[in-house]
Amino acid sequence: MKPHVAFLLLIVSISACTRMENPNFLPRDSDLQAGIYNKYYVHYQPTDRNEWNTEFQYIRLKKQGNFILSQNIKPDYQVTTDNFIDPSEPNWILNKTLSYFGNGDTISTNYIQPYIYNFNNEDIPPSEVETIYSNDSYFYEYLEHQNTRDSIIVNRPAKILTAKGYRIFRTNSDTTELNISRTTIYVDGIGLYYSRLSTPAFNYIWELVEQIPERAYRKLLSEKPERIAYINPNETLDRGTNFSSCDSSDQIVDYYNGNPDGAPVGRKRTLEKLTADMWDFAERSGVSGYLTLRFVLNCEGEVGWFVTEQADLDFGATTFPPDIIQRAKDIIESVPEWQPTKIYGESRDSYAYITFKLQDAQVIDILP
Amino acid sequence: MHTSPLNFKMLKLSIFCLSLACILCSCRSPEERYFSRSFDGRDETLLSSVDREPGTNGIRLPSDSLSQEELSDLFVQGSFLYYQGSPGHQLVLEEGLGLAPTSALLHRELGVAYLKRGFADQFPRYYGRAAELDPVTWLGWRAYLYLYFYRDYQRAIDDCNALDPLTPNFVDHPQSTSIDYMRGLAHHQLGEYAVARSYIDLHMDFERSSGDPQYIEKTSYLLSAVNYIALGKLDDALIELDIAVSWGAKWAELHYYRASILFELGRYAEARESLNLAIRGYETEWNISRPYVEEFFAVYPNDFEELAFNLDILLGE
Repeated sequence: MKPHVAFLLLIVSISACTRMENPNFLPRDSDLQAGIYNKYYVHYQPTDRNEWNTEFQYIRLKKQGNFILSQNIKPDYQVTTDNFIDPSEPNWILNKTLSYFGNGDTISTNYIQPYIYNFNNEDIPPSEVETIYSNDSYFYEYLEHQNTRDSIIVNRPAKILTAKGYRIFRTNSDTTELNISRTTIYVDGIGLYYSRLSTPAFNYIWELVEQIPERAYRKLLSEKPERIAYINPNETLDRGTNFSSCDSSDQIVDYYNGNPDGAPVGRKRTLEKLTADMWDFAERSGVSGYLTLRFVLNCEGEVGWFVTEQADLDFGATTFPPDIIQRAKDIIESVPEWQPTKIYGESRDSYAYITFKLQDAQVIDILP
Repeated sequence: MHTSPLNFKMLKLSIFCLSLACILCSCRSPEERYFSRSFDGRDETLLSSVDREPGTNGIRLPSDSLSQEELSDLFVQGSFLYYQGSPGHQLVLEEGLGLAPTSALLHRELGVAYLKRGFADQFPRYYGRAAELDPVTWLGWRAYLYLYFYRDYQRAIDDCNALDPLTPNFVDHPQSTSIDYMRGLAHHQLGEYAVARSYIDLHMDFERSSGDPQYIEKTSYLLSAVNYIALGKLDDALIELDIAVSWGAKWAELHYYRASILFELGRYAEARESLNLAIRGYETEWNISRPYVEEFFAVYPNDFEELAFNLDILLGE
C-alpha cells in the first residue's frame, strides 16, 4: 500500500468515527452500549411564580437489544420510568412505558397510538396514551405533531419538534382537562436537549446541563448520602441485642412526624427524675457539651440501636468519656414507658434522640 | 540484523500514522466528549441560533433568564419535593449550593434536618453560616434556635443584640417570636431576673399597644408571671395570669402557675380550683407545646400530683 493512500484511509476512517453524514440524536454508540446519563434541570413553573421550583433529574440511555431503554431517574437515584424507544426507523417510535412508584407498584402506559419522534416532519398520526393508576385515577394524553425544524445548537445539528394536544386527568371526584403544547429539541450526538410542556396552568421545562458516562454515574451513586439520622443497626452501641424495628428500616419515620410525637411518657419530667436518681458523677473539668444519644423508638415502645453525636458547648466536635455515655444510655433505657409516634392512628418506628447538656460532667439540661 | 529500505519506510509510516492517531484522539478530552454546561455566563448564547429561528418565539433556557441567586432559591423550593433530610432533598440542595455557594437560604435549609434530629455539631456549618451570610434574615433565627434547641441563653442574647441595630425602629419576630420576648426569657433563664423584667415589660408594652390584650400570646403572660414569681412579686404575677385566664383560656400551664401562686398566698381553696382546671386542661390537650422542642415552663402530671398532695394536706382532704 502506498503511504499516501494509507494516510488517506486513516484520515477517512478517523473522520468517520467523529462525524456523521446524518445527524443522530442519540449519544455515541459506545456510550449507549455502556449506558449514559443526561442530567437535566427540571423547572416547574405554575402561573403563580411563588410556586415555581427547580430540581434535577437524569435520563439514562442504554441500548437494549433493538431498543433504547430511556430511564427517568430522580436525584435520589430512584428510577421512576422506563421508556422503550425503537430507533430503527428514521422517526423513532415509543410504544412502551413502565412507571415505578414508591409503594412498589408498577404501572404500564397503554399506547393507543405510539408516540413518534417526527424528526423528518412527516405526516404521522397523533399519539394517544392512557394510564390507569392503582387508585383508579385515569390519565389520557392526545398529542398532534405541528412541525419539525432544523437548527444548530452548541455547534451541532439539531431538530426542534413542536406538538399540540390535550390531557385529561380523572379521579373519583374530579376531572381536569388541559390544553397542552410541547417543544422538544434534540441535538446530534446528545439526545434530548430541551423540553417545554406548556399548559394554561403551568410550564414544565427540562434543560440539559451535563452528560455523565456510566462509570462517573456509578461513582456518584456510591457517594449517595443516607437520609439524615439514619442509623446502621450494625454500628450501634447495643449491637448484638435483640432489639429490632417493627418494619424495615426504610419505613422508620422521625419522632416528630406523627401525632403524638415519639417520646417518653411524662416527657422531660421523667428524664429529669431518672437523671436526678442515676447521675452520680463528681464534677469533671472539661466534660462539657451536648451529648446526644440517637436511637430508634419502635412501634411497640421499645428503644435500641443507640449511636452518639457529640459536640462541645461551642458546637465543635468532642468526645465524652465512655462511662458518661453509658450512663446517659442507661437513663434512656430506664424510661419506664415510651409513647411511639402514631401516623393515621398507627404506631410507627421512629428515629428519636435525647441530648444531655453537660457542664463539667453535670447535667445542666435535657433536650429537646 | 539487516533492515531493508522498504521495511524501514513501512516502519516510519507506522510511526507516523500512530502518532497522528494519538494526536487526533487527544484532541477530544473526556470533558469535551461529554456535554457540560457552564453557569458562569459564557453559555448564555447556547440557544441563540434557536432564537433566530422564525416562529420559535425566542426559546430561552430558564437558567439563562434567572440569576444564580434566583435559581438557587428555586432549588430550595425543589428540595421540598422530597422528604426533609432524605437523599433527594439533600442532593437537590447541594446542586443549588453548587450554583450559589454563598446562598444563606440554601445553607439554612440544609441545616434543618440536622437541627431537628440532634446533630449539634452541624449547627455552625449551616445555621451559623447562614447567619454570617445574611445576618438580617438569619441572626434572629439563630437566636431562636440557641434559645429553644440548645438552651444557650448567652448566645441567644448576643444574637438578638446584634440583630437589633441592623433593623432600627423595628421589633424583629424571627420564627414569630419577638426578640424582646426572647431576651427576656434568656435573661430569666440565666437568673438575671431584673434584666429579664425590663425586656419582658418592653415586650408586653409593645404587645398591649398593638391591639386587644386578649390576643397576646399566652406564653407572654406566662413568662411575665413566672418572672414576677422569681422576683417575689406574687401579686403582679397573679394579675398577669388572671388577665390571661379571664377569657376562658384552658391552658394547663396558666392555671397551674396560678394555682401555685394562690397556694403560696394561702388561698388554698382557690388554688385547688385552679389546679383542677390545670389538670382538666392537660387531659384535654390544652397544654403549651412547641414543635420539636420542650416548651419553657411546660407542666406535667408529676407537677400536678405534687401540688395536689400539698393542697390535700392543707385542705384536710
